[in-house]
Amino acid sequence: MLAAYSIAVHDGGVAPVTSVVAAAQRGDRAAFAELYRRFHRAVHGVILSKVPYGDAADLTQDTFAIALERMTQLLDAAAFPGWLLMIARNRAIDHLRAMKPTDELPDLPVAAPRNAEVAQVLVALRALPEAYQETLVLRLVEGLTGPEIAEQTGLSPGSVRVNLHRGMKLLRERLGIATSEEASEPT
Amino acid sequence: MTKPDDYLWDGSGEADPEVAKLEQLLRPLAHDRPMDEVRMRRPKRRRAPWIVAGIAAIAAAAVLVLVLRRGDTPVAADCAVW
Repeated sequence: MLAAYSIAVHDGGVAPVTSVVAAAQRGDRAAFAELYRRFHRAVHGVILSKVPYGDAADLTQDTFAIALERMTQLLDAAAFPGWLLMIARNRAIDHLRAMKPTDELPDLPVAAPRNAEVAQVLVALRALPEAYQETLVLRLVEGLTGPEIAEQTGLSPGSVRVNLHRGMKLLRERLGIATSEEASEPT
Repeated sequence: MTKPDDYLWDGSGEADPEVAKLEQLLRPLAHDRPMDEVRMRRPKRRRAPWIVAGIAAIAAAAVLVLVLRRGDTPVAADCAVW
């Protein structure tokens, strides 16, 4: 219920995450809903970088249910983004251990023949080092910008920029895509 | 003047055609579902691992006692011929 939302919002601005977390820890359900609104794409992106698309949405809800249950265990509100994404990673890894290998192609919300292309890119993304795969999924799938990724993962903007740049370079190599500079080089 | 990786960083500047193509390809997979209020109202109660281990140990002990008691039953009683 939004009427219960007790967070002071700055003049026309957005309440800092720490205030929203503190309110959620006091049991304010609207504040927790606000955390979901701000972080659901980051959680889904982190999960999708590990598990098939068809399971990612359910695991995203699971992650928030676990976070809600453990909110009072979080001692530093500023650590919320990293803490939440750690729950998401652990949930994804537990799920991977328990599941049988499945073909995610039928679950992709993209019609054939593009779904095969999407599946190929996902496989290439998941084969990258973890820091690169998560950052690139957040940028390319969830549509977050570099500054938003930094804010929602707890990484520094510099680290996010490096992850995006190096990850994209590796992804291009693995997908056999030439950079614009390479493509324009005379042969 | 924009840097070459500005588009990758925040979508500003001249679009990198390959990044834009990947975005277009993958964007339908973005998460847009609302929070599942029902699931949030009833968070999962998972038993602590030591409770699960305790229950398993008690069950194993009970099975063991039953098996041993059966072993104690005199053979003659089972094979008695009337």
